[in-house]
Amino acid sequence: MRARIRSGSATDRAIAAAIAAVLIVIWELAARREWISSLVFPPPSRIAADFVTLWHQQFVEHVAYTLSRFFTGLVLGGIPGIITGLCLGWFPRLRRIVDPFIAAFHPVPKIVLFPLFIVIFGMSEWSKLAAIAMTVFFPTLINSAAGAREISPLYFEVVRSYGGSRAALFRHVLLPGSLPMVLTGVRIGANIGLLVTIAIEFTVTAQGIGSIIWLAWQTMRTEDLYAGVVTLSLIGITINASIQWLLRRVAPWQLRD
Amino acid sequence: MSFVVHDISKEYGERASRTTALAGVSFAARGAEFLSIVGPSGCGKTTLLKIIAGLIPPTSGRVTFDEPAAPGRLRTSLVFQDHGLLPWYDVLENVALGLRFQNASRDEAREKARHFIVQVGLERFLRHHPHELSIGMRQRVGIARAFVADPQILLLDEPFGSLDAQTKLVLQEELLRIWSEHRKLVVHVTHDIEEAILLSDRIFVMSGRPGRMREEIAVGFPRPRRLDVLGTAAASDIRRRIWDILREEVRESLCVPE
Repeated sequence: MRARIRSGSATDRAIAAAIAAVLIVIWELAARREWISSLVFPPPSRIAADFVTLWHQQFVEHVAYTLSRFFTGLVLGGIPGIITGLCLGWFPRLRRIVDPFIAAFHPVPKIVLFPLFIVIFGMSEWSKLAAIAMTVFFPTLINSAAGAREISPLYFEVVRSYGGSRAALFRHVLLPGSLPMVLTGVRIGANIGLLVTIAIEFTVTAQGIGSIIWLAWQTMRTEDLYAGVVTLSLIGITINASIQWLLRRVAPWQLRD
Repeated sequence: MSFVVHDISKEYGERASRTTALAGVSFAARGAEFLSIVGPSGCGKTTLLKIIAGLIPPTSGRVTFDEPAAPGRLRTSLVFQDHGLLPWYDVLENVALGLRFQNASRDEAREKARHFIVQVGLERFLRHHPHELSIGMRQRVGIARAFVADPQILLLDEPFGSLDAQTKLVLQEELLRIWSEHRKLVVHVTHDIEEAILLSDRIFVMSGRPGRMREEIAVGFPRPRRLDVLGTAAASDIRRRIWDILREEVRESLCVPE
C-alpha cells in the first residue's frame, strides 16, 4: 500500500521535473532569439556557465561568509529561543506574565531594528548577528512554548503515576513531546533568518551572497545575480530538507496521516 | 496488602460551577482480590482511582494502607483508559518506563519489560511506536507496563472500554492469566457489567453523580474462570441486581420518569 503511494508520488515528481525542464528550454530559446530581454533574463546556459566561473573565483568565500553569519545568528537566537520557550511552557505562571511582552515584540519585523543595532554595536559583525539572532529568536520561542503547552496532560500523569520526579517529567515528557514544534520553530526561524542575512548583506557589507547580488544589479551583471539567487535557493532547500529529515527521524509519530 | 477508603469526597471547580464528583465514598479492599467498581458514566470512578493512586488529592476523607510503602517499589500503578503510552517511545521503552523510576538499572528494566511484552504476545513489536499498533495492542502494552512496575496494588481504569467485543474477550483472558501468575490486589473500574462479573471477586456498584457506593456484591465463581460462568443462574442473579441499581441511576440522570 505504502509502496504504491510512494511510486505514485514519484510519477508526480517526474511530471513536475519535466515541466521545469520544458520551462527552462523555452526560456533558453526565448532569450537566445531575443524574444525577451537577455539582459533581464539571460539564457539559463549562460547563467550556468557564469555560475561555474564564479565558483572558481572568490564566490566560495562569499558563500562561506553568508553561511557562517547565518548559522552564528541561528545559534545565537535559536538556542535562547528554545530554552525560553520551553521554560514558558513549563512554568505557566511565567508565561502569563511574559506573554504580553512577546505579543508586543513579536510582530515587529526585526530588520527594522538593524539601524538601532548599528548604533549599539557599531558597523561590526555584532550588529548584523544581533539582527539575525533577534529574527530567529521569536519564532523558535513561540513554537517551542506552544509545543510544550500542547502536550497532553495525560503523559505527565502517566510518568507521575510511575513515580517519575519533576526531572523525569522534563526529560521523558516535556523534551520529547515538544521536539516536533521546536524543530518547526527552528525551520521558520532559519527561513526568516536567511532572508534577514541577505537583506543585511545588501546594505552594509562587501562580503556575502547578498553583496554579490547587490553588486550584480549595480553593474548590470544579471548572470551573477541569478547565480546568487540559485545558490540561495539551494541553501534554503538544503536547510528545509534537513530539518524535515530530522523531524521524520525524531518524531515519526507526528507523520500519521 | 489492604487499604481502606474513608469517606472520600471530591469537588471540582469554583463556587457557582462547583460540582461534586464523589460524595462520601467508603470501602475496603484486601489481600490479592480482584475488585470491580461499576457505575454509570460520569459517576467519578476514574476520579476515585486517581485519588487512590495519589495523583489527585481528595477534597475530604483519606485512603489508608495497612503496609507502609516498600522502598523502591510502587504502591500503585494505573492502567489508563486510553492506554497512556508515550507516543515518542517504542513498545520496549514504554514498558520499561514502568520500572524506570524505581531504582532499577536500564538493562534490568529492559530485561523485565521484554519478559512482560512476551507475556502479552507482542515480542515482534518491541521496536514499534504506539501509532503503528492497533488499539488492542496498545492496551496490551499498557497492561504489560503496569505489571512490569510490580506495584502493590494494580488500578485499572476501564482498560477495555475502547475495544471491540472480540478483542475485549481475548484481553480479559490475558489479563486474568497474567494476574494469576502475579497475584496482587486489583481495583478495576468499568461500566461493563459482564466484564465485572467475569473478572471480579467482589463488585461495588456506584450511583450516578455525585458518586456514592450503593451496593457490594460478592462473586463466588472459582478460578480459573471460563466465559461460560456468565451463563449460570448465579451470574444472571448478579446481573439483575446490578442492573436494578444502574437502571434507577441512569433513569435519574436522564430524567426519565418511572
